[in-house]
Amino acid sequence: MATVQLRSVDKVFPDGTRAVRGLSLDVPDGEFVVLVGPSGCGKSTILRMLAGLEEVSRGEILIDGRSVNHLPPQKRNTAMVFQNYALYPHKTVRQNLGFPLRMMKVPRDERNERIAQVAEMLGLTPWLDRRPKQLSGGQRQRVAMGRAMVRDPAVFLLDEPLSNLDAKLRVQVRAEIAALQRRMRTTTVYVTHDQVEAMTLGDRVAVLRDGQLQQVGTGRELYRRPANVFVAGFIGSPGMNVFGARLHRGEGETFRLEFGDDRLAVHAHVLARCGRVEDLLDEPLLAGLRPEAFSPAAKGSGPNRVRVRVASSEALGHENIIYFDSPVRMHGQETTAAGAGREEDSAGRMAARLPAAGAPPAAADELTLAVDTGKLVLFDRQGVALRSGK
Amino acid sequence: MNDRVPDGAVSTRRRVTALAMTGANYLVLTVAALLYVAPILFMIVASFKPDERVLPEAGSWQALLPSRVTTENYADVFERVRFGRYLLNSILVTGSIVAGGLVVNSLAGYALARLAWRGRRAVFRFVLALMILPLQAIAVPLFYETTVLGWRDTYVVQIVPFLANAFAIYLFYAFFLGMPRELEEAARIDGAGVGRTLVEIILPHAKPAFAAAAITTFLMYWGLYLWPLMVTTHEDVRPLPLAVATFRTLPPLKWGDIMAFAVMMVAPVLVVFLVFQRWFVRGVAASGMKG
Repeated sequence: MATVQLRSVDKVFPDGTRAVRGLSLDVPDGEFVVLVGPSGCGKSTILRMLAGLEEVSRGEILIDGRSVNHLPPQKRNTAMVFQNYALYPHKTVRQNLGFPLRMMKVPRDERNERIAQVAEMLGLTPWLDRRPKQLSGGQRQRVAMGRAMVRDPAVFLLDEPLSNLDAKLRVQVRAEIAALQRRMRTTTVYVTHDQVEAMTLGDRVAVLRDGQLQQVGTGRELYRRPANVFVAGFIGSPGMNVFGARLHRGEGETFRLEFGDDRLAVHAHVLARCGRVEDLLDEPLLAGLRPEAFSPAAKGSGPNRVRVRVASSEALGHENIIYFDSPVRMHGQETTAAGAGREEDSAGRMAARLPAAGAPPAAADELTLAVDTGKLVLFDRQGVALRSGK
Repeated sequence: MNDRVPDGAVSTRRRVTALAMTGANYLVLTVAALLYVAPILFMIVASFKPDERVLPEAGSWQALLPSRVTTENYADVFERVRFGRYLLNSILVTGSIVAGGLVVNSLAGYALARLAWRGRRAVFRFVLALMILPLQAIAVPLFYETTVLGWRDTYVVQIVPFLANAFAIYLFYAFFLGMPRELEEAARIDGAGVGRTLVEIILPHAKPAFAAAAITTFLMYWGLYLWPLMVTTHEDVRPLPLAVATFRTLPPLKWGDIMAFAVMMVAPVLVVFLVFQRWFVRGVAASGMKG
């Protein structure tokens, strides 16, 4: 077991691509940290630098307090699970599991004992004499995990290990990985682009974009208090609705936020989270509302009720996701992992998560929604979250 | 007026056309196969015929059918020349080129495909350029060089110049390039150094490339004629292609014996090909090269 520290790490590839910029991250002993971000954000490069498969251009990587920048992979005491598992195709499961132990010159008896132990733990005992191509996707994944576990490394590095599994198996293996890590308490760095994986697995989640760390925190923190509009849009599905806003003084302890023809009342205590109220008033800001901040409301006007026109809807069984034309100017979100095309399509649209009661509304239907402004998050025009004390 | 042809008639016409096309294809392929197979069949059949019947029957269909089977031509060959010696020379020379070449060329291909070193691209381009250079173009300077080294009339002079082979290097290069890099990376993380990774992970995975390289190199050098002719004079080191040429001029002229000699010379090629054929096809396919 070990700590992992990255100190202002940069990675510049020979073609000039800057994959990682000034990354600093501390992973305490035994923690499960998930690196998450859209494709090309540098998360796999970070993992490869930790493993020693890529050189660090600038900065320092420390494992258990010792700089490993110049150590080859075999001397770092890390174990890695690759996206495609990278099992040795000509070796049996037993030989695959035993290979790292053989390289460590572990005596044969001990080797066999450890292989048996890991195989038992992962339910691989019946398949020990099979070759990888004779196994199912899930079994292969477990062999790859076993090969990493058998050496009892200081750090586990997992590079999108579930991406080749079907949806059902992914959920099952995800739970298995979480349980294994809890049992072994080995420091783990896990890379994924899937935010559900990130939120469910990680003690902490580090969100990356263009090689830069955007925020690191528990899943709950990222969801409730995103550091910027990128994290707000990336975490959550659909992401947070972020729109241009201006606050005005209302009556008593409340403030007004214009929402098209409607007005939203925001209580002072909500704004207190975001800094001095006087600094926020009449300033151009960005406001964020999660899709679940909306709920169905009776027709007619009332406090924090808005009328919207449905653009499209997704019925998920237990809930409906409603997309409606935004009555306010949406902030351009290049934030989701789904790709640029979808971002453009959703420009000017907001999402609301509503309980499924009857058939989902059809396009062009008009709905009245109540808005819970207690969940409002405010950002400055640069997209940085406003916090009290900032 | 209705010009429509009934559906049944259309499908029948289509079926007949398809059948005719298939028939024509088979006919062309059969003729081509006969053209290729006939000389080989003639060689094998003639080698088992009494010598006096080989030439008279050569112009008729009987050339391809054994009339009276005899092995006396084969016995003749062994009586008239030291066939065993020539065969041994050929096996030694070609076998050494193949075995040594596999080591040299696989390592070169791996270094070019996988290791990062200064000048790698330049060396790779040089290797590519060498692929189009025929032996005849460098035979004279090579002859001069090996003579200066005092290698004439040895096995060494027939082996060493051909160990490194641009085609085989390229074949290995293409194969290693297509291999998932993660396998090597996994091995390195698992604690294996470059050498161990090569021996334990890469090479066992590269059997098809080895088979393809072994066969192509064997075919390339088993029948090599010009170079041994230039650098050897003594029959103790001369290989089969030179021996068959000499044998043809050895009186009395016996076509049955010559055919028996030829059959025995070609047989090892067939054996090698049949043994390695399965991997050869996979190797060529995996390396992305066409034959």
